[in-house]
Amino acid sequence: MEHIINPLYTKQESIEQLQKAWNGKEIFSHILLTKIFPQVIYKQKEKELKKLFFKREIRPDKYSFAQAKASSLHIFDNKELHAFLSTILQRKIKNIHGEAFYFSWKDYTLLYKKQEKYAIDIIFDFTEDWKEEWGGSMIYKDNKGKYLKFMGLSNTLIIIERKNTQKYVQYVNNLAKGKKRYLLIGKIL
Amino acid sequence: MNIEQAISDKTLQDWIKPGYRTRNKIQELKRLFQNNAPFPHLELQNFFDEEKLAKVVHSLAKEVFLEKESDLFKFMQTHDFATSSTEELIELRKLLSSKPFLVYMEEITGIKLKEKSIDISASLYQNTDYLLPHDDQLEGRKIAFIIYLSNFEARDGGKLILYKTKGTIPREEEKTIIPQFNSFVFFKATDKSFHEVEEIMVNKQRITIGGWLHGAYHKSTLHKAREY
Repeated sequence: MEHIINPLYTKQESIEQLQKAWNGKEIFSHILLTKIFPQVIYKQKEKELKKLFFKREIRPDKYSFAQAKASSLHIFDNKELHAFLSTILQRKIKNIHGEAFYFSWKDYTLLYKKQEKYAIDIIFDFTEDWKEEWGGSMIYKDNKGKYLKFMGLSNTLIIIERKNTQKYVQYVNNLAKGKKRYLLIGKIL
Repeated sequence: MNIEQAISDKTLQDWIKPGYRTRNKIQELKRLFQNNAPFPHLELQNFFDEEKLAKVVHSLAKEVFLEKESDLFKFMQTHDFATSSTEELIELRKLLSSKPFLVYMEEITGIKLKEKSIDISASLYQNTDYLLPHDDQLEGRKIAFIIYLSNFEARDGGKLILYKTKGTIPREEEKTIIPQFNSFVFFKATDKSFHEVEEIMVNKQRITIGGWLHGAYHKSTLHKAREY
């Protein structure tokens, strides 16, 4: 069976570094792993992702984006992913609730109160050829004004702990006309 | 002070065009304000004396515009004119918070306002800048106002969009206002007054002066704490 995680990240030495990185951050425990899937797997999943049935979700004072069920991609329920995350996060991961999203021109999410007090976000970024000036960055912000910004980067996994932290997706502006920022966003509660 | 005394005031006469200062016009504006949908508002074109407003525009060049960015907006803004040392801006602030002007606004809107209680600053929106839907409600804010200092076309973006609400949830765009130099727009700030500034889509500058007129402090309005 083909591995879905880049073997570079599953070597013992890498695992130790990742565990250290996860535990070592003063604010916002997070890890960003580029080229997370082997190229063949990434291309296959990207193709499947873009074929999903996306539905527009708009609530003007809160969000605007397109959303789809991601279960058919078999990423969030993948046992190898669960084992990988369990090792890095040093806790048993059995379930990840996740959906597929894309953000295109005029899409955004705003900060609003109904976000969990604690969660670990597991985000797979499938965004190709994106520029920061187009907007669409994912921002994590704490109540002291500190923040982390994740720009569009293809084949990337972001693992981030939310502890009294809120997140939003920056408005996607007219410079991104015709482009879509694809994301798989899952969470561990 | 009554409305007759207010419209006879020398400063008001210097700043506001005669057509907007007659008893009949004020009665007409009062009806329009209450009946305009999706929430009480007015757009008054060619409202101020052009010469005075041109001096205000000129004086803005001396002001520092600071970048403002959050989940809700991206644009540039000056400090409140209360801290400005520019004569024209101080004069405009003084007019908009003066007793005669507040009596004039109270007559049109039916909203009781507090003298010398105003927030006022200038904003500059450029290509890709925006202000997403929000309701403007914050303690004491009664009337939100905007003085447009640029001319835009519909395709340029930068329109003020007013939302229709179901309860207090914004549902769909109901009215759009295209920026035109010397238009004075104001609306009642409530938990239903959802509006946005559409993203600018061209290389033009959208310059406005805006802010809020305040009313008496009420505990019941103290449920939001977001400022922009």
